[in-house]
Amino acid sequence: MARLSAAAALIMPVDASADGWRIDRLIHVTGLMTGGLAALLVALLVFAAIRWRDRGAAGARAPVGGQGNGGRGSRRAILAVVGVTTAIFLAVDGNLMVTSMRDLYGVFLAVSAAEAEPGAVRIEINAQQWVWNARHAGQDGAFATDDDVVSASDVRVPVGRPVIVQLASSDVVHSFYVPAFRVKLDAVPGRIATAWFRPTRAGEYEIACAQFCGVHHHLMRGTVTVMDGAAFDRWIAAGSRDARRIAAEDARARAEEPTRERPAGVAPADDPADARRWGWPWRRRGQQR
Amino acid sequence: MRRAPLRRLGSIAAAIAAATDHKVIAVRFLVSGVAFLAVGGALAMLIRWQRAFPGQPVPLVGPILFPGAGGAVTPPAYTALFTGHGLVMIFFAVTPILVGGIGNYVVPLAIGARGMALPRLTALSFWLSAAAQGTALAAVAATTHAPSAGWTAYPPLSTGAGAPGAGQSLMMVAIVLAGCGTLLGSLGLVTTVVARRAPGMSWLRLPLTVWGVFLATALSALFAPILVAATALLLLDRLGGTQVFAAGHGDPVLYQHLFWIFGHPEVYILVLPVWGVLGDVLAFFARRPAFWYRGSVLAMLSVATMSGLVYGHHMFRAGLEPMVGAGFEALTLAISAPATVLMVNWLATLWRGSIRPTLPMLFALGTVAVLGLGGLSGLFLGAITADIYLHDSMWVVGHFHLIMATATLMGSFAAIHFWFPKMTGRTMGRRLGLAHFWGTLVLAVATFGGMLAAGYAGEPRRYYDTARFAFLAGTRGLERHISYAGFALGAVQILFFVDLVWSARRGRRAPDNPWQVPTLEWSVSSPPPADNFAALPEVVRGPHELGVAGPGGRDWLGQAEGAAAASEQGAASEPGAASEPAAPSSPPARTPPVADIAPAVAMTVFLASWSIMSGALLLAGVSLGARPAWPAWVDLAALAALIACAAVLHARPHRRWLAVALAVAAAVAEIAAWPASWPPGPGAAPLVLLAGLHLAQVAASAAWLAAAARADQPPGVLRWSMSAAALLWLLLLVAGRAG
Repeated sequence: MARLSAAAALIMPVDASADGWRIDRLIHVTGLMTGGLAALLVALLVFAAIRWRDRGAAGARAPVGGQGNGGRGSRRAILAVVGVTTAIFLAVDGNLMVTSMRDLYGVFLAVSAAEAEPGAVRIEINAQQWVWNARHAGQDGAFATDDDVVSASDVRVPVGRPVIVQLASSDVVHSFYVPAFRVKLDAVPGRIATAWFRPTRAGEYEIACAQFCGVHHHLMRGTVTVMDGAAFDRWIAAGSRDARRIAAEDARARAEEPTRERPAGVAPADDPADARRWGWPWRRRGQQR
Repeated sequence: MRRAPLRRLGSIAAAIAAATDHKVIAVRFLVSGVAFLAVGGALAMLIRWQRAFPGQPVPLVGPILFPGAGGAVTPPAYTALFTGHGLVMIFFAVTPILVGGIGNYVVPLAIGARGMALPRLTALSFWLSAAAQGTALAAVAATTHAPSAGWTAYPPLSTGAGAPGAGQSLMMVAIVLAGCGTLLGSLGLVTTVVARRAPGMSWLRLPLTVWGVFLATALSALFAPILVAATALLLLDRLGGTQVFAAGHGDPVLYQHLFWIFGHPEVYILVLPVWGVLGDVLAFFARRPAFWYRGSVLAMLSVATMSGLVYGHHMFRAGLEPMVGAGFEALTLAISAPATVLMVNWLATLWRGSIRPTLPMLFALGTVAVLGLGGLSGLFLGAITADIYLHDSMWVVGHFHLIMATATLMGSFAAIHFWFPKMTGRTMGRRLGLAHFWGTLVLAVATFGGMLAAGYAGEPRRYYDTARFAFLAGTRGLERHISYAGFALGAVQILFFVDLVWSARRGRRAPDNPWQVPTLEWSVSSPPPADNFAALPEVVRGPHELGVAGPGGRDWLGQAEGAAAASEQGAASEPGAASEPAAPSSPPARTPPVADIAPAVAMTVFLASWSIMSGALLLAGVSLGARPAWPAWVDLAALAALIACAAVLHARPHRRWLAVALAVAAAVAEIAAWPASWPPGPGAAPLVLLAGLHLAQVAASAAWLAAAARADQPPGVLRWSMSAAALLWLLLLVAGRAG
């Protein structure tokens, strides 16, 4: 275990998603190219410093290249510089641009296509200092209703099916980061951000916060549990049943209390009776607020 | 008898306050910057202790600094540490050293000027900077409520709800002061380069150092006010009850836009002077002209121009529209092309050179290596998909510490070693310097390269402790090793401080031109006389005339060597300026610019900067849906008064008191419009701030007009200030009504 941990310092977290490999590959290919360039740079610097070190033959030497305003460099040499720069730029930057745009528009931003898949799971997450509040639509398929399955920092998803997350925050800017799925998305209060992923391996994976959000930023941990489809459906059913029961008890309790004003917005209040009422109607594509 | 010592103290204080010799001011910047480097470094050591030994009491200083927790760093203290570290290093250490220190010292000498174009502006910039530094210390010392939202201070965390208390607000005041100081200092430097170059010093004969500082200060003048505006709006939210950045009503992401429109040019403000110094130092100690000087100038210009257009890559995860994000990605990747040109030019400069391993050269070579490594690590962050994984991870911390910390500081060390003999007449110690160089290079790469590895493993930044996360189990050992390297890196810097202090007093005496290089500052004594040059030099060639057949067996020719005017005062300041120097291979010298374009240049740059800031505030207000309902007649009265005042200044400049009366009338109308004109809503706050600044501009112009010594001709620059004020007021009305 210890050896695994030590090695883990130098490798990326396990990739349990269908599309995380795209990011990993881009990083690794770029790493190889830039690593090679960095090594070449250092080698050239060391070579030049040794090969052409000053050997004390001071005094008159033939002037090198141009003088005066233009500085040194024959036209051929300058064209060589431009050529080398362009080649490096096209190779490294070109690969970065083309690959990232293709993956972005083709996969990571293709939320509508993911949502259209049968069996797609929708989750609302409301980040809060220092908890990830998660909400499933429950058996009625609609959010902000009584049968929503609500949890704190405990997200459940089925394996192999697309999961679409709508993300909000009730206080400061947080960032929903699930390393195992290569997901990272800022939760900005007053906005709703959307991302999607497709888990491919069952297991329990961690959620961390990736935008400094206060003194317990480093404790804002959650889990995503990936289960097989049948187990997930059973979990939703059981959760919905519990939610409906609790809602009915709440309604009875409220009937006996004087009416209270509900706080506005999506913030889960400290009052436990309101702690479950923070959901919002599922946003259609393009709606950010 | 008793009053005499007090009066003496008073006159000494007055002399200190009024000193306008750019060299004196520059040394003050250097000293204060290096002192705050030590402060920032100490904060870094505490951060690294916590990362290496989470929750363990800090040895020696722990019980004093963190008494409540038995000497250990607590999460709130850790937050204050990394917030303070970032702010101190960026605003109060590196900027004063590179721009205030090296920039102010070298530029007037290197361009052949007697001093700064607007010396009191430069002096004032130091005092504002010092006030900012003092305020920052007070903020960090406010231990119960130290600044605790990171140096970036994103709202809502940085508003009163997230980070209450005086410390955070005080730090924002310090930032406003620092921004104003930077603006004034930058105006002074830009104006000096434009207006005070010696005869024959054309733009393409400037040393690359001057180009680097010039472009950096131009960027600084243009963009620092946006930081001031963003911070001022945040202060209004904290103290004035506005909701510019509050969720739901205002927009927290608006702050990120405003901050990074400044923030990204800021990193180029810090690195451009280093690029300039490298271009010169590498040429000087390879004994060859810099390769493709024009290409390097073009590259630095391109980077400066594009710097404000790439800022969105800091916000890739914050919800930008996809097309906007793609545009920022394209520009961010594109900006690496001119940087690559610079890198290749530096290598080519070394090619077939005659490399002297002096300390400035060693630091320069190390800086090139680190710039390469750090710059390449930034490419990953410029691609949106790679950034999904690396955003806000330790990879980012490693990347910017390689550039912002290691490269800028090693460049600063190169510059300080290089110009120390000019400033003090002594050289710094070679053995101490070698130990400092190798220690810094190896340990910095180890420390910050280790952070790149931690980020690759997925570790987020700004974590007090990663113990809670299983996926980070492997990085705990890595963090310990990073800290060991960091402690050693900090310890090695002590060598530098010791060397500086010791060599300033007891270093070996240096000749006037110990490095044997052609730029103008080396043609005067070390240290230079108060007015720099006995007679203004006449420049006849570029700055890198090296590897040539010079008189007396030298392999270089001074920039002003052999010019007819120079040879008259020649022998004293030009070593070996024989009667038969090499013929100048340059076009005839230009007549020098007339001295009094300086105020016009300064006013032009200031108005450009003012316009950018005003535009940002206007857009901010409009984007938040501002719809003021102003009483029409006072607005229009103010506008009419402003236009009339500008017209009088243009057409009838001798009617000074009429212009003053009109300006005062405009100010009064603006004040009269105030109480009723600002409706509720977050968009009003930026417009209120802008109107307040506008009022200050009009009032200051009126006061300056009234105080102008010559009754017949007020300062010409005021015409433009009033014209701009009238235009801005018109825009304010239009934006308010159209928005």
